[in-house]
Amino acid sequence: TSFSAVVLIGESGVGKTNLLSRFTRNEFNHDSRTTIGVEFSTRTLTLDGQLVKAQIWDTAGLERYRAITSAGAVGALLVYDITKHQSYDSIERWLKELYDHADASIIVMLVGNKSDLANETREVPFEEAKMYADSNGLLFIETSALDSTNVELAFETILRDIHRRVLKNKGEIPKDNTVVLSNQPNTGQSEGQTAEDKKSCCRNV
Amino acid sequence: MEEDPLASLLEDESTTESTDGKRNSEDLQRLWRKAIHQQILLIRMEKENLKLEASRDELQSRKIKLDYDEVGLCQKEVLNLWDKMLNCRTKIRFDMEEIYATLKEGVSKSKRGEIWQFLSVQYRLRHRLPSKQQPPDTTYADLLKQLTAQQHAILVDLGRTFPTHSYFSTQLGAGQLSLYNLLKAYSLLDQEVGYCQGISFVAGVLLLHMSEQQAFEMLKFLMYDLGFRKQYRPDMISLQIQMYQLSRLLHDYHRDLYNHLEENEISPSLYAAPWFLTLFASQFPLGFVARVFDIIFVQGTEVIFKVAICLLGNNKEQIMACDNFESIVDFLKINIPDMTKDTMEKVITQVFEMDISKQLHAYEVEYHVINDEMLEASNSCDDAESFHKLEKANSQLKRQNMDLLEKLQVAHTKIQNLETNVETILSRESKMRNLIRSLEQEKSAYQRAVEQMRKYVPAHVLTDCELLLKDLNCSPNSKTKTGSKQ
Repeated sequence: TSFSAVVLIGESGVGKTNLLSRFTRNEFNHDSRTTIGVEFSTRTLTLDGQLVKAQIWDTAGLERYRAITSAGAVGALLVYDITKHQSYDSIERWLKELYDHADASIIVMLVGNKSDLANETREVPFEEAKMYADSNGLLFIETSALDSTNVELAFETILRDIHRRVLKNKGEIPKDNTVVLSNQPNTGQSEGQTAEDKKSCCRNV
Repeated sequence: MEEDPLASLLEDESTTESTDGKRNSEDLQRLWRKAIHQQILLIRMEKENLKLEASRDELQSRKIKLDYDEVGLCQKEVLNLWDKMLNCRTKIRFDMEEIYATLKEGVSKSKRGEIWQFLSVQYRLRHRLPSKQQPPDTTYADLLKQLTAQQHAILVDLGRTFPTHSYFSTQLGAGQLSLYNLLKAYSLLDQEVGYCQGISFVAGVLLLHMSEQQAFEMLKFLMYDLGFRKQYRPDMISLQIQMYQLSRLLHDYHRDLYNHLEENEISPSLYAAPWFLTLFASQFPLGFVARVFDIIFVQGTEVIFKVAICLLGNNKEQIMACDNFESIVDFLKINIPDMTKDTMEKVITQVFEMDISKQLHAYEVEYHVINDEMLEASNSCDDAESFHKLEKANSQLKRQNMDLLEKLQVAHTKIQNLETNVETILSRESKMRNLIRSLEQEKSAYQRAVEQMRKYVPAHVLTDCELLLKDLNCSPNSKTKTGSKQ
């Protein structure tokens, strides 16, 4: 099993918490609470025939919480709400913040959430966001945590990208087959790396 | 609608009368009068009905607001004690020990809002904020007229604050509207903090126990007088200090647990941030939260630390049994708030008995020292950066210095006031002494005069006179008068 830490960032109210709960527990909560600080969930899935344990961090959307967010994560889902242009306008700021604090090689996916409302109240055109993502080297997808559209695909895509990059960088496949826990000594080199990632993720409140 | 009964009434009467063939103006007049009277009656009844409905609505909304399970029973004697204190119209200083003892015994939720306001008055009688730290004087009504830049952030959180509580769950219902007003007004009052996620839960708890206007006053009290606003400032440094303090306290009280959490790389910021930023309101049962608020209104921010330490300590064995990062964090976030009523009561009792103020202060100082040392260490590497950091540290120290100076000033004026008080009391005392002395002299002079007069009075008259004196039994003045009459 290899291990990846991914962080969910974006404006308040775009649906980060529900994307996470849809992916890790297949749940959608109509009356979810405001996220205060950070929360996380894990899910283990099979990618390219290998078990990957994903630890996904959910963060509060308010600007002043940004210091808590993303140092050390290997991937980030930058979420906006396709029915609120305001939430799309701020992605540049989020990106800057992210590159300031995270590893330069971090993989970022731009996620336009609430696609179930596309026909009624869409404010951010698909093409516009897609073009922005392409020209900034970001992955891009539109999702709906409500009706599950593309949620699985979004997480799988970024996790697969991360996984492949890790394998390529290390030039080897992890030999160990046990779940890596932060309090256990690591054997494989790549796992040493991932444990490092985990330690530094979201710990600097 | 309103005319219908009138019209039908008239019609009926007129048809019956037309068949009789007797229709005079007197009858008509009488009929009109009757109809008008009935109409007036109807309007009055409608008004009364509205009033009744309004009061029923208020009762209903009170019932909805206070829909939570209480922790700890408030006995009748305790209720009476509270009533006694609450019924005092003037702002009298009550004995703090007495208040504290009563608080320990319990608070009933129907009185809770009033009691919090009473406690805030008592607190302010003892602690006055330096004028520079006081909130602006703008009234709630004036703030409501303005527009806030944080509107979006506040609106987004309305449906996500106590989403399962019936008072707040209706979209743009009474609860959400009040919450919006309150948060908007506060964001305008406190421009530095504005709106920060977490505040909505604190505001929500207040709104469940009192009117919007009162809740605004109490939010001001919590934020300014008790100092909770510091943790919501944009840099959130105060929150970081609190996290450090909590981790040190854990080290003091539960070393084994502290080590276990350290080994698993779990710092307080992973689980305790919402505890501090919502005063436990976002995760814990409302009855427990209300009880924690009870103590906060007397002791302020340190209550959060006490509750945190008790919660962690009471669950030590189960936390130690979790052997990895995920399971520990899950336990802390899910299992700890899921307490039985007995456990909640136990925690509250423990919190009442703790005293950690000295440690808290020491650890705050320690945090700054460590931070400075780290700054120094990093300074040696890079000159430009070190200069920048030194400057920052310098300005921070300056600010600290200013704060301290301000406190010193307040203390000085207080001492001066006390000294002038002492002086006036002393001078009054010496004046009184002089007065007493002169009165005594006067008295002995009078006594001498009486003695002398007595000599001139015949014996039988004297006995009569003495009887009279005994009857009167009055002041020396009148004694001499009766004496001189003879």
